[in-house]
Parts: sequence; C-alpha cells; structure tokens
Amino acid sequence: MKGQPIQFEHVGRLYGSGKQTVRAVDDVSFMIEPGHTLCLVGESGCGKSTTGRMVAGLIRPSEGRVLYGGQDVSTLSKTEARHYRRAVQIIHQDPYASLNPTRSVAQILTDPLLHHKMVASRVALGNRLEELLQIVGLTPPADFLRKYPHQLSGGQRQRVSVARALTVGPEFIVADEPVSSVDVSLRVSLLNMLLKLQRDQGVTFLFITHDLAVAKHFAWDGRIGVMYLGRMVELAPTPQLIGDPVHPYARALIAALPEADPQVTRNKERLRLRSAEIPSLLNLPRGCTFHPRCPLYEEGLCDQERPAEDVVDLDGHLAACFVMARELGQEQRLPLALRQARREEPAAV
Amino acid sequence: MASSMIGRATAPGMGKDEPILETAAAVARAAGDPVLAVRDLEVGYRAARGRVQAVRRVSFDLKKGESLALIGESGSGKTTLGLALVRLLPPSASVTHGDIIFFTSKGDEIDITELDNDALRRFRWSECAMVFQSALNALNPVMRIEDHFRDTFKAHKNQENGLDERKVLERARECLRFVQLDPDRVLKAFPHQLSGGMRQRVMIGLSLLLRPHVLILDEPTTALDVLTQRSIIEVLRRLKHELQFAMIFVSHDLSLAAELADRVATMYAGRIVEIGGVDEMFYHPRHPYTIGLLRAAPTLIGAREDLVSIPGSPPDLIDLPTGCKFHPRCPYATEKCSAQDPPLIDVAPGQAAACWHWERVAADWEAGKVYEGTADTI
Amino acid sequence: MAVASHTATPRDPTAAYRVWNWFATTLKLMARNKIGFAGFLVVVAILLLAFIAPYFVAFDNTARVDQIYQPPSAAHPLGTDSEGRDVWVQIIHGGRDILTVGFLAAAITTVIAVTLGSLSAYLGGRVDTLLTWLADAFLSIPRIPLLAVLAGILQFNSQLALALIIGLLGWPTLMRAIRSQVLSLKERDYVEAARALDLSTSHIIFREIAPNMVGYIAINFTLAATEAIYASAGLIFLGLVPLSGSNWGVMINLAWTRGAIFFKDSIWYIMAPILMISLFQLGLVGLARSMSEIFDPRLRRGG
Repeated sequence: MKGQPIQFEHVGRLYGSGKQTVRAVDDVSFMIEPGHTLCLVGESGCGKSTTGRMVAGLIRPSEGRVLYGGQDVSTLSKTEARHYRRAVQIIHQDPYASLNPTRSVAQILTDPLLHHKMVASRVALGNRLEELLQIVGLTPPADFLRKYPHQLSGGQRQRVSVARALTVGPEFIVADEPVSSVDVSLRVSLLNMLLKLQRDQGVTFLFITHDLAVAKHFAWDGRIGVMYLGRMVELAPTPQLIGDPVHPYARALIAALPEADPQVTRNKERLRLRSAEIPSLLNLPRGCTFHPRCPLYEEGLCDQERPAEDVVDLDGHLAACFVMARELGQEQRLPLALRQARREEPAAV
Repeated sequence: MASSMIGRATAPGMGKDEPILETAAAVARAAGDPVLAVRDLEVGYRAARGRVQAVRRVSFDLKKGESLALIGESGSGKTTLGLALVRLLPPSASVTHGDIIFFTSKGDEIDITELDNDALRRFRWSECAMVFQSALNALNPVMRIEDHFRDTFKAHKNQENGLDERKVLERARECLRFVQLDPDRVLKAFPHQLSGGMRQRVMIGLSLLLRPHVLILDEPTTALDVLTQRSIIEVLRRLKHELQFAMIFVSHDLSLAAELADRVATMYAGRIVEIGGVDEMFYHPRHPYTIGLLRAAPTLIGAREDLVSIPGSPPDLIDLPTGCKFHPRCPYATEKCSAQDPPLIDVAPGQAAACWHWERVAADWEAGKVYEGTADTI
Repeated sequence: MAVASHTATPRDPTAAYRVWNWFATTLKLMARNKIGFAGFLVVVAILLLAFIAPYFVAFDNTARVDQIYQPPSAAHPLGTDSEGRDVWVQIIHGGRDILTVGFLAAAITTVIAVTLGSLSAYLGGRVDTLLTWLADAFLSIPRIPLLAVLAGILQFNSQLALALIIGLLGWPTLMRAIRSQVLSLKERDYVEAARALDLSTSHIIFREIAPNMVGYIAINFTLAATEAIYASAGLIFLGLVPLSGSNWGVMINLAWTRGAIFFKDSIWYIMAPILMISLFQLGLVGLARSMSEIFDPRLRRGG
C-alpha cells in the first residue's frame, strides 16, 4: 500500500466572515513521505484536527494547496479524486461515536467491501473479514463479527475503527487522538498495533494528539509538529524535538508534562509563562501569536510580524521564533524590517 | 477486618458519650491523627443487567494534611468511592456495608452513612468539600460566580464556622486570590466567560469557602490542556503546602499521583489492590497491577521505552472472575489466585498489597526482571 | 445478515424464531416503563374493539323512537341515543373510521416530513432555505380555520380525502424536528467515516442516518396520530365534514346538536365517544414513552 506523498503548501482554513473570521489553520506547510509518520501535537483549539481533516479530504482548504503525489487535490479528475479519497482514511477519537450503533461489526466492515466491490464472492468476503479482524487483534474473529458496538469496550471499538479504515486498502491514515479515550493500560497495545501496521504494510500516518508522551512513543522514528493557535510553531524529528526543543511554546509543553516518577516530576523545572490567558482565535495578538505568554518576548521584535514556520532551520528542525533564530545564529533568516530594527539598537558593548 | 462499631456507646457505670476503646475510630486514632477512616465499605448499584458491586470492602485511613491518590481505570470503582465519601451517590447506588468516619476539627467523630439530611448539609462543605470532574457541568451557567459563593454559603452554613452573610463576599475574594484568580475579574462573570482552567480554579476556590479540612477531588486535571493542567497542579500543591488540609484525589493518571500524592492507592474491580507511600508505590511496587500501570505509562524522559500493555480487558463488574479479580490478566497467576481473593497483606511498613505472590513480584522487580508472560509486544 | 464464511453455528436462529424473539423482546422492553406498557395495552384494547369487534356485533341502525335516551341497563350497557339506538354498539362500530383517518394522516405526514427534513438537512444550501421557509409558511396558518375553509371549498366525501388533507397540513412541525435530527446525526463520526470510505449518499442517508432516527420517527408518528385524530374529530364535531356513517366524531356532533347533555340519562351518549377518543389518545401518548426503549439497539441486544 505504498503511496504518494501528501504536501501542504501554505494551507489555511477560515471559518466565518468579516470581523468574525476565525483562522482555525493558518499558513501551515509540511510534507509527509510515504511510509513515514508525522505527529501533530498541540492543545485544544490549535487546529490539529482541522488539519487532519483537510489531509483526509473531508474539508477543503480556504487558502493554499494540498498536493497529493505532487498534484493539487482540487484539480484532480473524478477517478483520481476517488482514488485519493480512498487512499486516506480517518480514525476518530471517541470510540463511542465512531461506530454506527445500529449496525453490527460484520455489517460495518462489509459495507465498504461490498460497496467498492472489493471481494468477488461470499467466501472471499468472509475471509477478508477474518483477515481484517486478525490484523487489528480482535480474535477470534467469529466472536466479534456478530457483536454490536455497545457490546464492545472502548479499545475494541477503536480496533474495529481501524479495521474499517483498512477495508479500502488505504495508503495513509489520519489518526485523530485514537488513544485518548482508552484506558492507559491498553493504550500501548493499540499503539503497537498501529505501529505494526506501518511496519508490515507501509501505511503512512498523520497522528494527532495532545499528549506528547504518546506522540513520542508512536512517532519515535518520525517527526512531531507542534501547533499553536492554527500555526505550526515547530517541526522536527521526534528525538530532536523532545531532547532539544527550540520554540518556547514547545519547551513550555515539554516542561509542563507531569511524569509518572515522583523524584523526576517534583524536581523538574517548569517554564514560567508570562500569562495564563489563551488568546481567542477571533482576536489574535499582533506579530507572533505566542508573544503575550512568551518568556522570551522582546518588544519590537516579537509583536510586529508573524514568524514564518521555518525562521529557524537547523537541518530540517524548523521553529517559528525570531528570538531563537537570533540566538542560534540564524539572523539572516529574519525578515528584513526586523533585522534592520535590530541593527539600529545601540551596540551592547 | 476489625470491628465495625463506631461512634459512641456507653460502658456500664460510665457517663454517656464515653467511647468504647475497640471502635474502628479508636483504632485509626491510635495510628496518629486521622481525619478520615473508611472501614469495609461496599457500594452497589442497580444497572440494567443486574446488581453491580462498584466498591467491595475498601478500607483506608487518611491522616491530617495527607494527600491520598486513588488511581484506577474504568471499572475500578474509584469515582463511586469518592462520591460515597460525601454521600453524593446517584439514586440507583447505595452503601450496602461499612462505615465512613470523619474526625472533625473539634475531635468529634461523625459516621457519614448515618447522618440525616440536615446534619449532612452542615457537614458538607464545612468539614469536607468536593471538587467535581467537569467544572463546566458543575457550575450553573445562569449564575454569576459570586452567586455561586453566596448560594453555597447559604446551603451549608452553620453557626460554628464564624461566617456571616456580609463576610461571604470577602471570603470569596480570599478564596479566589488563593487560586490565583483576580476576584474583580471573576466574581461578576458567568461560567461561560471563563476558560476551562479558570473554571476549575473557581471550583477549587469554591470548595475552600467554609474552610474544610478534607478535600475530595474527582479527576481534577482530566480534560484540561497540558499548560492549564500544570497551573492547576501548582495551585493544588500550594494549597496543600499552605493550608495543610487532607486531600483525596481520584484519577486514572499516575503522573498526577507522582506530582501531588503523599500516599497512593491503586484500585481494581472495586478494591484497593495496593496502598503505600508515593515513593514505595513508584519505586518498589508489589502488586502486578500497579507494576502493569507503571510499565504502560508513556513518559517523556529518556529514550524510547519498552512499554507494555496489560493484556486482556477491564473487568465486567457484573460478571467478575473468581478469586483475585486481576488473575486473568496477571503473569504471576496460579491456581490459588483463581480460587481465593487475597486480602491486603502488609509488605513493608506503611505498604500493603493484595497479592498472594507479592514476594516473587518484589524479587522480580528489584532484580529488574520484566516478567513477560502473556504481555503484549510488537 | 450474518456474513461469516464458516458454517453456521448451532446458534443460528430460524426466521420464525427470530420473529418470535423480536416480539418477545419488544414486549419485555415495553414492560420496563409502566406507563408505556399501560398505554400499549389500552391502545391494543381499543384497536381490537374498533377493528375486530364489529365482526362480532351486528350494527343495528333501526330507530326505535320509543326507546330514546334509555339509561344504561343490561340490554344497553351505555344506554340509547336520541333515536333509540344502542350506544355501546355505536361505540364499537364508530372507531374504525376515525382511527383509520388518524393513522393514515399520520403516515402521510411522517413520510412527507422525513423526506423533506432529511433532504433539507443533508443537502443544505438553497434547498434547505426554501424548504424551511415553506414549513414556516405552513406553520403560520392556523390549522382548524384553514381546514374549515378547505372543507367549505373542497368536499371531503371520503375518509381518504380527509386523511389526505390533514396529513398534508401536518408535516411542518415534524419536518423541522427531523431536520434538526439529521443535522446533528450528519456530524457524527461514523457518518464522517462513511464519507471518507466513499460510500454513496443514499447509503449514508438510509443506512447510517435513518436507522438512528427510527425511534424518534416512531414517537413522532404516534404523536402525529393523536393530532390527526383530534383534527378529524374536531372537524366532524364542528360539522364541517359531511356526516356520513357513524363514528365517534359524528356521535359527538349528533349528541350535541340533539341536546343530549340536557338529559341525565343520555349523558353516556355524548360522554362515551369523548371518553373513547380521550382514552385512545392517552394510550398513544403513554405508548410513545416506551418507544425510545423499543428502538434502542443497546437495550435490544443485551448490554
């Protein structure tokens, strides 16, 4: 199921109009190569779910382009569009809402198989159903086919969701908080099942979560993108992001996470933010949207222009912070106006 | 378990109100300054499919100024236990056995299960307050925050806590300042005008209104964003340090226990399966379920860990396994485990685990051996 | 719809067993709600009375003027009417028409409302705006006066015509209710998954959305039936409809115009049909309470 790369080019998604416009997603760019994993991490309202739905083609971008295999998805022919729709599947967060309560597991899985004529006979159908349930770890399959969603636990429902996504042989799976509503002791099992899927079938993943620890476990060989108020503020390979984060928001998130280890967590240094208030999407701060809360805030630098996603570019490790760009010797990447503003300041020495 | 006699009784020849020594309360007191003693508590409720035992024979003590974390997953009974402590169970649930004894600031003993409605109202909020899980749902959307304070005061006041109508607002300001909220900004606001984190802080501030000396928190940080969670944890830590009251918080999140708890109890299928000091529980666990939880929790520190899920599924409370309820999922299970449900066995000073094979579990853990058994790996 | 490829397990039920099981479960679910069950019994009893009993009790239309307004007795359990006919017999024969009109009108209303409501919600945009405006227009016209006017212009000669008119006027409320249901169901995760899987619109509407509305539709159908019965009884009572045949509405009208309320002995002539209609309505409303439980798949297949 190796597929095509999916690329976002300055994609934005707006809701509302005029004064009441909300930029749920704002100028986000990234590329996901087939077989790889990108994790989108952020708090509620950061736009990660909206981004995920745009990747899956369920929502159309208001700005920018989504490219599938190098081609703009809005210009695809009917057949190509259909192929794209099926190539990208989605797994939802809430196991209690992701399955139709009036249909049995067998029906839920059979619908797409029959609809798209993916099986030639009843026997083939039966075999495929068994195969799917085996892949997602619901054994013995016969037991589960008969059941209705309310007879399954949260973790089991998520597995049925995955099986359903697999019916159409997707290249790409958008997993929107797939383990957040599942018991902690069962999360790892579910994550490992998804990892195995990636290993065995080369499925590409866009993994959306608010939990950095889960992101780390799932995407250790992939990348993590941190989103804040609709923008991507940092994008880096996972070990680098966790070990050496650049953007102050990412640093604050990592520092704020409680650990299941009393000595570590009680002595961990937290990043103090200047304000606890999260700006409303209707009234974003000028310049860098994080500046009212940012400990690195510099007047004149941070409240003028919005930093681009790749202001800091350390060999593939991107961060949207002017101050850090300067600190890391990448001053030449700042916008001209701000560079000049800096130069006019009296010399330190 | 020891006697379930509580409260006062008269011994022959003595005046009234002389407690008999062998009461559960006395046992707890002998252990040193308790604030809450729960003995053999059982709570059941009627579900569509039958009768469910949500809490089965739970006993523990809470000392003054101590914070206890009740950690468990779905079906563990932790929320039901928390609700039972303040008698806020839904109508379909009831305490079928056992005692909950509070020791008030004046040294009285109150058995919660026997209070009448008036006494219960006086008891609630002034002796023990509860902070609910979903602050959005617990605050009345058509009432301003200051009205919440006034309302709560009116409902639970009694002559003894030295507060009167006029002082309520002053006290409310004090409470809000304590949770790092600006009273001028918050008092006149409606709940929907505040963020999730602020609402949760309002709930905590509200609970402090009548100076309780026990606070029960139900999943205080669930459904909150990471940064907001952090600020709430800091608020609770400060509260604990400065106001010195006892706290029970119910959660599925082990890391919360690591942050705030003095003692931790893990619950499974309605029982406490292990209880001990926070360091003991995290560094020297003795029950396979506790170990399972520790090994299944993803962490940020260090490189990619070898995480392992606990095999199997959460227990069906109507159709529980025989013997130890955890045995179908336990790598150490033997025939004895499927036949007899182990009681809490003392495994170290201040630590107890409900496992027949705890010594083997301890040995394996200390040796760093990861007993794979039927554990789930890639 | 078992699709497993391996041979049927011994537990696979036959069709007859499945039907029996469905009935038994339905009854059991209904019994959980006492009012619902009572309503169910009342409805069944009255339906039997109205539709089956007429075959066993002959209709006697002869006028016996010497027996007008007789009090209840062994021969005439509810007394006689202004022409000496037995009231109880008339009650037995009088339900059929009114109830048929009621259910027929409710069926017409439901079909129109579900179709328009679903289309409006799922297609959105201009279609939605147009249809909701249409519904609002209908809603703003008072029903009984409109029906009165229509009765004057058109001739309601048959029950069918009456049912049709009442049904055609009753859809707006239900349509809006269905529309809001579909709007909310449309956003469900499993519908989004169906879209991602590229399943057809008709599949989504009929297999994903509609089955989750069945209980809702059933309840509203029941309530629409009560409305329709009131409407038809009201029309007949007001004399806006040609009084053919003998049904409860006609009985009320005749009793009223012939002054049955003035005689102590004839009180049953006017009260009986009123009570029957009221009782039936009460039964329907009570039954509606059990409806949501009957249609909940969670309760049906064991928790």
